[in-house]
Amino acid sequence: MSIMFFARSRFVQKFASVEEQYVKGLNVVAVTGIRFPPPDWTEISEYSGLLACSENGDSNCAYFSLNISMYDEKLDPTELNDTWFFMYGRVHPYALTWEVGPDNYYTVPALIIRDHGYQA
Amino acid sequence: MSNNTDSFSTTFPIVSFTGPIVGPGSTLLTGEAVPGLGDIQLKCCGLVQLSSYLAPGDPTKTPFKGFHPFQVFVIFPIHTKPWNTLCKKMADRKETHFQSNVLLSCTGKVAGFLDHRIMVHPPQLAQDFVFIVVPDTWQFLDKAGQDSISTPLAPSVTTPAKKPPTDPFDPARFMSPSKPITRQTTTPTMTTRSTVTLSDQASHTEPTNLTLSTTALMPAARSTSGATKRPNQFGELSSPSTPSKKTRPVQPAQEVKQDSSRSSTITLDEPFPPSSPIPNDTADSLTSSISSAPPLSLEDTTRPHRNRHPPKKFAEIGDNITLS
Repeated sequence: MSIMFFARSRFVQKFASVEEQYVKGLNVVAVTGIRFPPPDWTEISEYSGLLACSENGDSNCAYFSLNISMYDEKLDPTELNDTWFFMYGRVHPYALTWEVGPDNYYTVPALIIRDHGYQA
Repeated sequence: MSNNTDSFSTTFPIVSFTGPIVGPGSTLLTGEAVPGLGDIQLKCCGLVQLSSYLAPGDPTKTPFKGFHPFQVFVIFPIHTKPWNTLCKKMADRKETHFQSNVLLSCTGKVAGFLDHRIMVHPPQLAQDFVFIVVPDTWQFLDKAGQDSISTPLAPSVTTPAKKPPTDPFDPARFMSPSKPITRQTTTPTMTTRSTVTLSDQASHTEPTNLTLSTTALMPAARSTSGATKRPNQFGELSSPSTPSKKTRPVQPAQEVKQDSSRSSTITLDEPFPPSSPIPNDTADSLTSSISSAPPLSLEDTTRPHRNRHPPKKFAEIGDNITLS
């Protein structure tokens, strides 16, 4: 499923080797928050039961693992931190589990942004 | 930053997908949990089965290489504007559009996430988001749907610049005395459809859809190179110099057909390949036809005659189009 969105990322990390990559070929990973503003109609009583309430009360923000390719040496991945980007890519809205270390698992929905899929 | 933050946070993310419908809300949502929805609304919503192909950097670790399934919830909120009028026919219909295994192709805004507690078959993990998608454009790809695919993108093809550009925003640049050729409008739409289908691994029913798209694309591919009758005439006119031209007009479609037949392998590794054969080929042929549009358009008024007795110069133009 393709997706277009505005998002801000944090905890940007660049992988040196392919084996470390969460998604093969995408060498930068970050945590991204996307806002999903509820449309007016969701507040009508008929529809109010549809939407899930989030744990932290911020019902319209969701966090994803952002997987992005940044092989151009001129680009500094840390510039992603706290900057709003417009992005286009694929989304997997169900959580995926990565084994990031011995007995250490990372479970999060994922975004896959390939070349030219982002613009500050 | 704060101003930007505010404006960005009110922008709806937009998703696009094609996939088989699991079923309507009337069977997949627990009615008691959402009593306000009512039977008609439950009929105008449903779940769609999709999947993402993923290959991790280390193939021995999770998530393993392959298709990872998920579902999205699609709803036409018919109790509110504009859907109460927009989807009146859907609401009035006795049967739901959300029939199992009918393909739904859709682009729309994400309104939020569905509460797992109201789902008859909720996802395994609490962290799984079931997107609530409100379609902006949609197509139920059942048998009846095949005829009405072409309309939405019509303007994009019928706007080759026919006058020298003055102010690029001048609406006069986009005015035309001649009628748009409706046949051509199928090409870009089908391209889009193919792309969408390719990007959304639409499970086991995908091949059917691709076959349909491909067959529908074939006449469209011909139409970019001329009217239906013309390839033969071109072939007769130009065969002495370039014997292979007769087969060229159909070539794009053949390429597409080949590609789609092995689509499962193409799309697996590169769901958005920068050099995806299908969009590029079609885009190239489109570009060529558009760039050749001004000379053709000069003779627009004589088009019917040209179809019957094409002068040689048009044969040359036609050759250029089909060759590029």
